[in-house]
Amino acid sequence: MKENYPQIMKLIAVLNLFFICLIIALEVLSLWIKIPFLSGETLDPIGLSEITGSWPDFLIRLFIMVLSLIIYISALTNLKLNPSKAYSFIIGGGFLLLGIGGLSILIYGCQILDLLIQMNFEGWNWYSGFHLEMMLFFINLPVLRIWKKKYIIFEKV
Amino acid sequence: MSEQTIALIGNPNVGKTVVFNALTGSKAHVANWPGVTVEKKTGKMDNITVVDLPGTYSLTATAIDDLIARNYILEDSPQLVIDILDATNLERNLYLGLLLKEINVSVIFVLNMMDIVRKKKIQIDLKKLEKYLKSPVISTAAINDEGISDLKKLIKQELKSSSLKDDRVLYDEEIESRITQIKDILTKYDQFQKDDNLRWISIKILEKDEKVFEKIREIPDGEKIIGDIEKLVKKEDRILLASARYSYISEIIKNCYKSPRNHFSVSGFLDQFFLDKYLGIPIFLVILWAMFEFTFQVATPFMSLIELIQEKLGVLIINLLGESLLSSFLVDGLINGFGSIIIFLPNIFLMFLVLSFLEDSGYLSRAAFVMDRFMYKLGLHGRSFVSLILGFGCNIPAIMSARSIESEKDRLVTIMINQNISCSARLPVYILIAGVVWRENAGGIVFSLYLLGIIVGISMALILQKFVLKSERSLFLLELGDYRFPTVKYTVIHMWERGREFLKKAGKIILVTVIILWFLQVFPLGSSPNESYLYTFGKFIQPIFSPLHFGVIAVIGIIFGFIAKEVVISAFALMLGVSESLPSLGPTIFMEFGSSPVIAYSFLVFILLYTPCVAALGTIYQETGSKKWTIFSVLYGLGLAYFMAFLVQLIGGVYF
Repeated sequence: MKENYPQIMKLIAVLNLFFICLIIALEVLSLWIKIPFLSGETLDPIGLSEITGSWPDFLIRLFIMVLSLIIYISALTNLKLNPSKAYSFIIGGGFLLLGIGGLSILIYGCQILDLLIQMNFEGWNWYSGFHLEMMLFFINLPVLRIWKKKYIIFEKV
Repeated sequence: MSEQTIALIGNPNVGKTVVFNALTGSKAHVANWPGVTVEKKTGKMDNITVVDLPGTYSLTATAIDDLIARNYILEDSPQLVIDILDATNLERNLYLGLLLKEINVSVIFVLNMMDIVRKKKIQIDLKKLEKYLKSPVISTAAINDEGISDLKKLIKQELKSSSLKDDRVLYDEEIESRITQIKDILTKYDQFQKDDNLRWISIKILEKDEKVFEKIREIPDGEKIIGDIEKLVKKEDRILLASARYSYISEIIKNCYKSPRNHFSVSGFLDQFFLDKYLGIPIFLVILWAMFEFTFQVATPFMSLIELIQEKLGVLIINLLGESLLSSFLVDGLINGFGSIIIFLPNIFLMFLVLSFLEDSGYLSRAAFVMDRFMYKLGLHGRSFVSLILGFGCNIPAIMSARSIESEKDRLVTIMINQNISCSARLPVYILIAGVVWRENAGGIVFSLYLLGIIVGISMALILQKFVLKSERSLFLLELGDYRFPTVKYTVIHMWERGREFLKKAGKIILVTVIILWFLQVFPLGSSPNESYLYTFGKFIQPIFSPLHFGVIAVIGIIFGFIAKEVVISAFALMLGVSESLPSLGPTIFMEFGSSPVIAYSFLVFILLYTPCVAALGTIYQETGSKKWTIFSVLYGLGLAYFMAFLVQLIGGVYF
């Protein structure tokens, strides 16, 4: 099993990179709607503002995603030259995204719980930007298992 | 048999308070964060009194908390001193141990954090260590209660063998001869003949310890004694003594301590990111933001639940008692007035949960370190930031934590700016108003207020330090212990301890204030709300706040918020006569601000910055010992809040 760790980590890095790029693309697209003078109008037919949230949320999310992007690009470029460094980056980035994804799941869950208590489902947006971040949580779950075996991995490479 | 006392001493953040709690069954506050204990705490282990002293690196008193530890050992003469050492960092921790061996006191050395030692594959030879230190050595992992029962047995055993052994650690011949000569001079005088600590005093004289010289000057012939002994003191003695101690420690480490090379360190790995020159501050801000998001979003369903219960209770009371003065007291006074604060309990507990998690994990000390780099550039003391972060919970312990700052002026600056930091009591006001005005962006607004508090605090510190309290820059020493995954037990205990303080305050001062408010609102009986005593009083004060566009009700909230900040909400609830809680209270308050988000935000800025509550002011007086500074903090708070709220309206008026 442990011989497969490098492949699993590579897969995690690639999947993370895909979703991070998707989130950044949506964020940048939503700028068009957030800043009316760029689009000339404030219409938001596909509900992008709902996905990316308020300005502080937007900026912080963008910062985290750009940081993750740098981490995973560095990890993938270092995979052959300096695997130990690359694995550190994948595990470190994994924990960051587990945190962000976990927080998203928690928030989404609490919002649903609140609706249940209030018995008020009108105007509830079942789709939100949280879903993409939730995906990041599930993608990075194997990092926890790999982390347990860190000594094997780091001492081997 | 006289009462026996033992004292716990050690470097900061070695787990003294965890050992103290394990020995005494207490629940004193602990954290993975140096400087949590700033005053001595006492507890009982069977019939033995256990004293937990503030962390100290040496017995050369500079900061107040160090002085507390040193004075206690010397003047109160406990029968036994327990020196707690961080076993993962023995080299540095042993320095204090050697200093203790210079005092005439029995010592037990406790090597704590053995769980981490095992994880790091470090080997320590306890038997050899015992020989070098000439005192009993025992290992523990107090956080898991490991080794505590053996420690209890050893303490009782050592207390039984009451006579002191001659087990001092000796320096080289030249230093020892001068120590003896100083001792000989001192014993000529009556005052020193019965002093058990002559060796320690002689060493301190060689180190030119100011406090010891002051003591000698106080006695008759003091100047003459100083004249005699000063001839024996050499300029380089302090360095010689320190290097003698360190070479002895090196020998101990060489023979008793083996650490594997190139061991992968989780803390080192995480610190690559958290302490990074460029990433450190943005990561800190992200964590702060995540804390508020968590607090806000997770608390929502619990708030709805409390709200539902309150609503049903109100209806039940009205149905049972009908419309009467008693039902008005119960529903308007208690359920709506007092209940409007209780509803925010989930937020407060959740924020404390996150703060405890960050503290116990060791991240908060990293945040202070990261901010120190930035603060040092501004000419501020990094230790101030530690105090500011503690202020997120409550300003009172945060003000007290400034004791560990050596420079008196830096300490005063830290105390003064602490009131700018948003404590948990202000959170309900933000949540209520931000929730209704900015809805889904409320988390961001609250985050901006906390950030504003930090920015204003730092700016004010800079102004105070440049113009009022000019001081020399002093170094900031902060030990960064390893990250630890917080135990559920301790995190929950910490959350409960802090939350309990809020509940206690709610049960006493807030409840009484709410009852007074209700009385002033209802009387004279039969009058309309605009003719009540409360409204008349608010109307009298309101013109002062006219430039800020705050109405009578907002002004009443501000005045009663002086007793406790949470009361602002109750004042609104009572004055607006809102029978249901949050859903209609929020919009009604917003209408009070003329439905203007700018006025609402400027009100929140005023609440953030104005004079701290009465209890915090009492602490400021206690810590500064000065009426002048206490009055200054009231006036400075009011002036700053007024100015900033005005500025918000001025700038906001241009854009919105």
